Amino acid sequence: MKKVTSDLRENYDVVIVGSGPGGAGVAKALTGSGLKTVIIERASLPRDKMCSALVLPRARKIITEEYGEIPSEFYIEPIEVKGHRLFVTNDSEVINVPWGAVFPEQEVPEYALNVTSRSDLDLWLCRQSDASLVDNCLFVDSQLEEDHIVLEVKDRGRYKKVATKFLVGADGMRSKVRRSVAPEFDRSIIWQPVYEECYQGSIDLDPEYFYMFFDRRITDNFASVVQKRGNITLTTTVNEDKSSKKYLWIFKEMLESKHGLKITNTVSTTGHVKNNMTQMNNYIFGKGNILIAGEANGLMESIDAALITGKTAGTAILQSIESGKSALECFIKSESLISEKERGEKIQSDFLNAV
Amino acid sequence: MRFEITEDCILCGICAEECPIEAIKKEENIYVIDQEFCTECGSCSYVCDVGAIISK
Repeated sequence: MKKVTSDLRENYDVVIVGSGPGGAGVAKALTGSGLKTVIIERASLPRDKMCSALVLPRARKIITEEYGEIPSEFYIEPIEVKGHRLFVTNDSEVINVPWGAVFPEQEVPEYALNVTSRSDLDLWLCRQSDASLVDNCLFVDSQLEEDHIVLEVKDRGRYKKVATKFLVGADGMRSKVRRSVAPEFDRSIIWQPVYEECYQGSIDLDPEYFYMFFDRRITDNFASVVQKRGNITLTTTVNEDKSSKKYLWIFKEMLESKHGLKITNTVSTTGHVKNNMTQMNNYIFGKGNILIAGEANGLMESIDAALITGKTAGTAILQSIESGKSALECFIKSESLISEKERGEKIQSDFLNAV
Repeated sequence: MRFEITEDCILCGICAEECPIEAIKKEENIYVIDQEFCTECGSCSYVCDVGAIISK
């Protein structure tokens, strides 16, 4: 895919930090508004991120209706993934859980779409808006001035200041924008390292399902197996006092012994950290004209929630300009944010109770 | 992707502050990533101002 990025300017109306679906959602909502908008991304685009890269039914519907059909060159076999399969312990019988049993929406596709990775999908989502896109640009800090915000960024290795009227942090679990509005917050939440290895090989698990394992010998949250065209990706999450690598290797050994995993070579390894904001209903939505969207605000970790909260943040900015109220006030009063919060809390408690 | 701190390290300690699971510790003349605990998130390499953290 052709890369289209711009040079960073000194001032904007809206700066969006993060080129994932949260950032894309904000940018899409502002398209056509005439506001000078930029998405800044710290990595080099297209950038990958750790994710099953399954577009779940609700996300498929939102994307089709608001962004367009996902290009078929992003699809990967098996193109449709039918639901979850759960192993509550390593020795229990597998439990089939269709997507619709967890997520309440009607009138959505039955299956999830399997895409190659998040890199092309996320870039495509951002490019369905008229925002500029600047990569290799790291958000460092923000300062509130009287009627605007001054950002410090590291753009292609050089520190620069950017002025903006509105700032949206759609920069993921370890959001730096969230840290700039709530400096001590990250110390008060629990962090869980996530580690992943991708192999070429074979396994006796049906590639048309997303397998989740909950046995406490291999994970403190869940471990998963996703298959894409003969590549098998194992992921596990542990508490911060444990080695996510060691647990992943224990998971791998269990799959070798119980589920016929055979590895011919390791394609890649990667990792990141999750936090427990969602489980604790502990959210941060922003301050003044700084909004936090996507998984950075803690509502839910999913592509569809990020698209929706991003869109809601963009809409809140437009409402703020019209009404003179702060963007945060418009954001937290939006019906769509409130209903997204209620939806997320219900899914959390239903799924946890069921498991 | 494995991350390593090279001899270009200037001992500023920002990487250690940035690491979400405190897998970076100071040794005599260099900061060192504990590879057992490192989850390869890459946060350290993004914040290093002298390009001393490389990925392999």
